Amino acid sequence: MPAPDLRHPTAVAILYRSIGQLAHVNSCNDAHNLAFPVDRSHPDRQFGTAFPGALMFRRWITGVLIGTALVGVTSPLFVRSYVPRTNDPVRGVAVLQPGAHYRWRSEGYATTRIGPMGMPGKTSFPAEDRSAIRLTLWGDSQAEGVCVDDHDKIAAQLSRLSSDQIQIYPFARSGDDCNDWIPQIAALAENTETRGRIDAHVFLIVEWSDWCIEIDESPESISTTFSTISATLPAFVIQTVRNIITRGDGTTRRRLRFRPGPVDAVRAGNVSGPVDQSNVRIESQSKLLALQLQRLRQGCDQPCIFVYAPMIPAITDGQVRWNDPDQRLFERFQRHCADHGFHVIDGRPAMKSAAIEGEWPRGFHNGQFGVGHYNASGNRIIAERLLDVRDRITPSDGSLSLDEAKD
Amino acid sequence: MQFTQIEFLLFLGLILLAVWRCRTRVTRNLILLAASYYFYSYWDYRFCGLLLLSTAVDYFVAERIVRASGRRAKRAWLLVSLCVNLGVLGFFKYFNFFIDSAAALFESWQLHPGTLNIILPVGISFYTFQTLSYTIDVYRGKIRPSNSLLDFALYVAFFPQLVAGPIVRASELLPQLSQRPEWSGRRFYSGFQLALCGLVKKVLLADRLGEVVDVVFAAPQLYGGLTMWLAVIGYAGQIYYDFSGYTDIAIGVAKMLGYRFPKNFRHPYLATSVADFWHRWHMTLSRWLRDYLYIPLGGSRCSSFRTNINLITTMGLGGLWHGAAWTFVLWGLWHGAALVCERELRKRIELRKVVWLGRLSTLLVVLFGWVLFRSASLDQFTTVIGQLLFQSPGIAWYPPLAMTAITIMILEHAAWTTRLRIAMRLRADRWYTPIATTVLVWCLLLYAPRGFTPFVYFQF
Repeated sequence: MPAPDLRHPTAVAILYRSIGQLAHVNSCNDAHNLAFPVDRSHPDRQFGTAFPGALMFRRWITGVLIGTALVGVTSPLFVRSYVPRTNDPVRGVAVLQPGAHYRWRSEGYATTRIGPMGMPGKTSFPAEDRSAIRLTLWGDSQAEGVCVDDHDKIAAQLSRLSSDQIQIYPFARSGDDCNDWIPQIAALAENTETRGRIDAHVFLIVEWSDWCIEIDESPESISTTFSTISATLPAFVIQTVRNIITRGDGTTRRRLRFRPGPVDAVRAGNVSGPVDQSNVRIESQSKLLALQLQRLRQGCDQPCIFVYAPMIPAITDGQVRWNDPDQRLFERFQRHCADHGFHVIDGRPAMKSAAIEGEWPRGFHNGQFGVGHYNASGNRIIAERLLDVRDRITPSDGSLSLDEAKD
Repeated sequence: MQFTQIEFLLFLGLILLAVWRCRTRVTRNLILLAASYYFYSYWDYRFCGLLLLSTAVDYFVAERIVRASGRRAKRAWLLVSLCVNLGVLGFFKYFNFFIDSAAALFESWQLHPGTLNIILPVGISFYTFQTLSYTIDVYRGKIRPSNSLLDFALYVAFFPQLVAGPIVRASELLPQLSQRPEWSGRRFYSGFQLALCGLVKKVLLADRLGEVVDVVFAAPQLYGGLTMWLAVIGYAGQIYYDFSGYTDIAIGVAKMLGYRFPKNFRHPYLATSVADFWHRWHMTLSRWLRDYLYIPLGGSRCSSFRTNINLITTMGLGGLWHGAAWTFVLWGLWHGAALVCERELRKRIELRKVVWLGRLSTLLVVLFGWVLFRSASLDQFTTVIGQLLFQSPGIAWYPPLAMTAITIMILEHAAWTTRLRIAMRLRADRWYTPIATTVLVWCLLLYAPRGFTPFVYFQF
């Protein structure tokens, strides 16, 4: 790279001069201090006495490139992936691109392969077996099995435990709620390729907020910008930008504050109140729940099974929480389900027993036990509870085919 | 404002630009003083008054001490400074502690004293010790009082060391503030590297370890013995990297501005004795306690028994300086007792012969001390010690990131004892320095834990 002409100061020339000054100062220091070498035979010397600016400049440019390459090469070991979303014609929603690999690095350390119709961890459909029960699994990130290896996810564990007599098609997506699931179930029922090929629908309930919400039938919008960014930029660059522009939760836009303190604690979002157990809240939640369950019944002919596995047992503020604060709401829910003929499986006793035996169903070594997502044990417990469906569901003669699903 | 915030980087950039363009020393110091007060008010502007009070009182008292004719008058003025500074510190930091501690006594007299909702001003322990050292040094005739209120105010409030040290003596900083530092590329680069290393220590090591330590210490009864050991070692790493990281940033930022601060840490976990540990850990506090507490108490120039009492008193008060809780006092007394034992042993045995044994025993003493230091109560302390010693069953949690951070700590300390430490300085003329610097910057941006963690020593 030719060195710039310093008689006509440009931005590069000023940079060169600064580095040269830095180098000159350092060249005067003793061996124990920072010392920039002065190569007297170097062609850069033509710019004046002891001017190794060009050498330094080249060294730093090379160093930055090599350093960035090193981080880029090693980042898949530590940085999660960003996978673009595509519109799935069968489900009618945006799903992670089939065939992609999704790395989990925050809580658990796992890689999920995305299968047809965006199914996490289910890359192919098993050979047709008319005696097998075929279930769909709906839920949020807990049902999706985030941070859990594919062979430890609910679908894989249930398949193993039942000797392939129960097959689960995991349609759960992180961040989804019943307003996302019910239209998808209707879409599957209307689709000629999937109609009659699903024996029952399973819903994993972890948080009531996924069901106690107003009915929203607006279609899902897919952000092409995010998908383009995910498809083009390396994950470590996206993650870096995200770290800079968002706050701790990774989604809220970071706002810089320059005004003097003190900061209002309420505005800072540090306040968390106790769970509202009032009758008013339970009444309103129950009402919303009833409406959503009725909507599900109207849009779905197949049997529906609910697995209730809330966030207990949990470790919060140094205490183990064994009791479900939403017990009363759960009782209401059971009554609504009985009215509609839905089956409810209570996963709480099995979760508690596992925790008592020291096998915490939630949390990972990389995160924290007792909080967060279900780990391999939690997924296994849910799969074990789902074995009961063999007594209730009889397989139909339809089956989902991989090739058809791809279309 | 904290050194790890993006706001601070922008603030620092502006200040560097402003002082670089500054022609005169007075303007430069005025800018730095205004910046320092803004830095402090970013946390809570209402407490800037305390800084002003401390500055005004000590500036005035130091002048009066010099002007006073008799020793008695000088001592009276010194007493004024001690009363004001220690009074403010005592009220804001220890009022509720003493009320709580004396509650049983009050209640036996049918009195029910309430506590006040007092906010502990950030950095009060540090700047109080700094201003006290100035007045005491003037009283002792070691330094002359500053003839510029601006310089003295900047000495007290200088933002790199305002909230968590290092505790800089007036004799170290005031002469530097009385002249305009020359621009030096070498010094700037050296300061930048130091600040970068400090950020890495704080964000990538201390905060990662803190994530585990906080969880385990919140419910020690739930975790198994090995996890508890991991948490205790993790806390040793967390507090070291947190505080030494802060100090590195402070020294680095000061260097970038053209000023030199004393060192505060020298790989304390390599200490071969407890006395050696205190020559390596929070060195500016150690020498403050030595010069203004231990020696005035008589130091080691009295009987052996009295020397031991002096040691224990000094360390106990040093513990109390850290926080208003009995666990801190006990932590100080524990170190005092260890120093006494070591002193007595040294009279009988030559301890220096087996270096590794010295290091190991010192480390165990220090780790035990950290359990006291970290525990919120004596109940929690006994639970933790019980889990450590009796290996009760519980959750076996071995977070890979924390284990990696501990491994890095061990390797870093091991490397420091070899020639590799030269490479760790990241000298500008080395081929690997640009690569290492780039990797460190990327790691800071990429792997910093989400969420904001304040420095541990801010609470003191």
